[in-house]
Amino acid sequence: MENFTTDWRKMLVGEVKTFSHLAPKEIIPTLLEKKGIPRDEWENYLLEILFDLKGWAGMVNKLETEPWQATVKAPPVKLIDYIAVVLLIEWSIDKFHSETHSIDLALIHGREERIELNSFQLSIALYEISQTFRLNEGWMKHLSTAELLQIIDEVDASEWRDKIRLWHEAYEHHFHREAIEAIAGHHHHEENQKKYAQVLFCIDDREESIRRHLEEQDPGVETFGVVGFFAVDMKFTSYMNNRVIASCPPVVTPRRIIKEIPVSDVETYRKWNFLWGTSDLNLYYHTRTLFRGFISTLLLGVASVIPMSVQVFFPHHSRSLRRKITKLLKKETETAIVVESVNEHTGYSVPEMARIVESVIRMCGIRTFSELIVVLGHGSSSNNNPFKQAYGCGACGGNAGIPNSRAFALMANKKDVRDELRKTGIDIPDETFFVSAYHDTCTDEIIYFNDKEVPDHLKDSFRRISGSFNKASKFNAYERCQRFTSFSPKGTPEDAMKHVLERAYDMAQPRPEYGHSSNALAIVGRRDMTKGLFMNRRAFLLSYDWETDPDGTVLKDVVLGGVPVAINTNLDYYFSAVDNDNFGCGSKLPLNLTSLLGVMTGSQSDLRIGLARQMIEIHEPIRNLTVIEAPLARVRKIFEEHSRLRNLLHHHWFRLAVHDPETGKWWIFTQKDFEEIQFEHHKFKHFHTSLEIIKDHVEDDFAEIDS
Amino acid sequence: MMIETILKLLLISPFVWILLLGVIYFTGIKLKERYLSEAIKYFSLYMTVLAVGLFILTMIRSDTVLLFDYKDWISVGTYRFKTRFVVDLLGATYAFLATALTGIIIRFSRNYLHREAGYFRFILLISALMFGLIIVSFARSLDLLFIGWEIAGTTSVLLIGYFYDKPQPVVHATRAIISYRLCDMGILAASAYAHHYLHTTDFFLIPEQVQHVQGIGATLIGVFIIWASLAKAGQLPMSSWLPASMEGPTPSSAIYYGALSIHLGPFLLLRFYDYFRNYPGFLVAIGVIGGASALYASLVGRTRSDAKTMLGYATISQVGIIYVEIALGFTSFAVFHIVTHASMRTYQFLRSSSLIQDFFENPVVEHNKVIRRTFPLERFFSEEFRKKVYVHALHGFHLDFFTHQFLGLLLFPMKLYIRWEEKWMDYDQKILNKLLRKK
Repeated sequence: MENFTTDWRKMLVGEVKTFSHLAPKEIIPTLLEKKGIPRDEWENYLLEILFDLKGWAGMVNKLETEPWQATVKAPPVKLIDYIAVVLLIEWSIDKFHSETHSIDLALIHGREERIELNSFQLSIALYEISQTFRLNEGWMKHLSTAELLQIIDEVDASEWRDKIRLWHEAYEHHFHREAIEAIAGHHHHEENQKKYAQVLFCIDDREESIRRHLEEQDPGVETFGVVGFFAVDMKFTSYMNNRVIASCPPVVTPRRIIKEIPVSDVETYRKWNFLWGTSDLNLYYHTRTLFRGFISTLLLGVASVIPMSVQVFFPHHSRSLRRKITKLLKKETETAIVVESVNEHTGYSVPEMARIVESVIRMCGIRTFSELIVVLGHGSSSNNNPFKQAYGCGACGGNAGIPNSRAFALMANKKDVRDELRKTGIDIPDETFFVSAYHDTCTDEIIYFNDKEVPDHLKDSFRRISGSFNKASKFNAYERCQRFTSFSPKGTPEDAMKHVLERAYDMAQPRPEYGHSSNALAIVGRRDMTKGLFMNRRAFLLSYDWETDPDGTVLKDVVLGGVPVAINTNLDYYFSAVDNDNFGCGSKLPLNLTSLLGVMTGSQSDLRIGLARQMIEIHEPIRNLTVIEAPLARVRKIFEEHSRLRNLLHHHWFRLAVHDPETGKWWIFTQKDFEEIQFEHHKFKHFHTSLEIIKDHVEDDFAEIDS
Repeated sequence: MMIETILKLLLISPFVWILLLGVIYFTGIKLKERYLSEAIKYFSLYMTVLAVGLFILTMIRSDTVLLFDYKDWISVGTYRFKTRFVVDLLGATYAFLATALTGIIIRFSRNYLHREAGYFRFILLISALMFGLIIVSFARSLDLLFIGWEIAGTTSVLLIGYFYDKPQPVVHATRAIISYRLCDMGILAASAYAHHYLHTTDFFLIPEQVQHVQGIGATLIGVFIIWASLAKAGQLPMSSWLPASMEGPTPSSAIYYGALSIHLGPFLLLRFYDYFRNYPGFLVAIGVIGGASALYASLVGRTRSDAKTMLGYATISQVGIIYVEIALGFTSFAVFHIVTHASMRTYQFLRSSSLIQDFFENPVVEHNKVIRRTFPLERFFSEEFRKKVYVHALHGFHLDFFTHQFLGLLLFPMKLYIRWEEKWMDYDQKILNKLLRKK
């Protein structure tokens, strides 16, 4: 074995030469046959191969299907080539082993029984057996293959798995039960006062708290939850560069390109952008080369202490400083979004826009329109963080929801669009104005984009809502800070605001925010069902009004568009928390960025998938519970018609509870069908405001707020 | 006098500090993270202030070199190992650099290693590094320098293996410690030869003494010193361990392989510069090693795609240039290069996670932009040749293979020993089992 690497390499070179005249499509079946793998096992075998390096296999697949998502131009890759290469390498290793140790390869691969465990688990199992029974290493030699397999089956079927499963289900059941009791027992009494403003939030669980605070601060506000891309699926191009960003859920293929264009001072911004971009790029390259690196090190080396010290010692000042410098250099450019269709790939026509606006309004179930409607996208700022997209808006493909919010507000404010909408029975009054805004979930700042265009008669309302937002975001920051151990327990909401800002701009911060940690619920229904219920940032809130949707078409849109987002997020966190080394990416500390595509651990590893340990450390791995407020027959129909959702449900990737408002009964999906829920009537604590709950450090997940 | 007080404080305080941490560690007291991070903050600030003070005072009287003699360290018969320190611009600069950069790293780690189980360990090791570097900076004899040198090496290995529950970091830590050990033998051998032939290991006495001594012994000192400097500086042929050792938390990679540990190689050569000046052959050797390493690292670095390894090779290539500068006699320039390079690399290592974000937000970069690092000399060679060179560069010019073969030879006795030990352990186990069964 001394010269394994070199000898095997020679073997590989020989094999590559023999196969070089074949296309990958031919190489794969040839090799599989040579290995003696039965034809019906091919698919499984290839899947196993892809899972050996699941990070890279996934990335190759992504680069093949969506090359425009890459940071820089990636070399053209195909998954089939990748499989062929891996198979060829594997084949030459097998061959090397079989020649040096005279083992018949067909015997290894072609045997009838398939072992469920992979080789690592297998060796652990065998090791455990050896340890338990105090056997020395030679014992396996005397066993036949059949006997070995039998032992492995025994290990596989041992009872500890069942025990763990039982514990886990009890753990989930406890929470799910409490959640259903809390929602079912909650009654909100709405005194029918006029709402001057309506806010469209994203369904995101992180918006649950700010939504609650906003409603508490300002009773004149009505809130809705809708998937954060506001039905505007787009490839977005920022004014900064020609990069195309898919700003829509990953399952949707964006149809149109929407451009952002600069309004003022076009030439200066172009000049400065170009200068900044090229110098940044040159700095990157020319500090890493030999001669140019020498010169740049001498010229800039000592100077780099200044930005380093500022960013390390005064993270929050680094942002204001950077802003001042950019202002000095290139002046903030005002930009506009173009939504009108220019050609068939760019922009939307008026009827299309009307349909987009209509679908959102119908999903929210808005009956009467307030004078001010705020469309609130969200995203997250963080620094030195390869996981930025994991913190962004999941419904916008991990990007910030800014372009979507801007485009939606623009469409809904158009007179043509409103005229078009009147034909379908949606009458948006002329005095109603849509404000596009953005919530930074990390710094808890709210930014408005078209605040200058707010009509004069709404200026007061706008001032009122932005004031309420300021308060709400302060309290939201305060609520979030309770989860950070570095925030002093004596801190005030003002301190919290400063603390979250510092987190976002700190180069050394592995936890700018906790993201979706602790998410466990998705609630589809009217806000009345949950308004005034403290849910500890654990619920995705999707608006749906069963009364305005007699035939269930809107329910279908809401459930298909929003529920999978919640489930995917939940499972992402679930698996990263359950097995952080395999489905997550381990600790963030030794991560090493590679190929401008992803991260690996240390100097050699597969491309890591999933979330880092620091991101899920406070997450409770609980499967999602989706609660739908709609007649049972409608829900049943949707899950019968859509195989993807049905599969998720029947294989228990999430739990489903239905509140049938017609009969008032509650149903939960168990093994095969819905069963009625028998209530035990828990008592939940009562408080006056959310702030009280936070200040008292109450650890309950649910509590009633009586204002 | 003031300088001497500061020097004493600089040497004694970290020692006391580490002792304190060690006592806390071994008594098993659970120190709250908040208190520890506050304490280390003030400690590193205190150290930096001292080092800055010393640096400024030395700058003012830059032409004088202050020597301090203390009680003998060890005396064997009539022979004395002296405890001698020196405060000159080189040492003061390095101490300043060491304390300042460690301070930045400690502040960075306060958030970066927040809630980390190994935070205490990390702080202990970084403090030990600071102590080691201060000894190295001010030591006047090879024996004394070796203490600091060893502390830096050991902490480096322990931080590569920070995640010791994973196989990869342990493998690379082992590689690092083997490389370090091999080269540390150089210092030991050099000091043994120096004691034997010159009766001193004082950096300021060696160059003089050497002129009065004939024979191979005095020359061998130089060979061993150059050899000793190679592992820490990652120069050929000890280059391949360094880029592979980016397994610890990012700040530790930054401080060791971007900034402080890696520049100990050139530092040692600078300490011995007066000696090397007597032998132009050595200067040529240093220049050749540096030049070859620079070219090697630059070529191999081009074929690497991950941020930290790329930075590791870039660092080796710059240190190679520093070797060349020393060989050419530009010593002050080399010191400046060390300072500027260490600062820049620390920053780049710390920021290495933001590359995707930086490229994504760069207005010049697009999804169809081809990223290619060109080499200005490339156009003089044919494409065939370039391809061949880069294929070998991809394999690190097979340096790993050669070092493994070489190490395999060296470690063969060790292998025999391990086998023998395992047999003994089996035997022990058997006896133990018998005893247990009897009970």
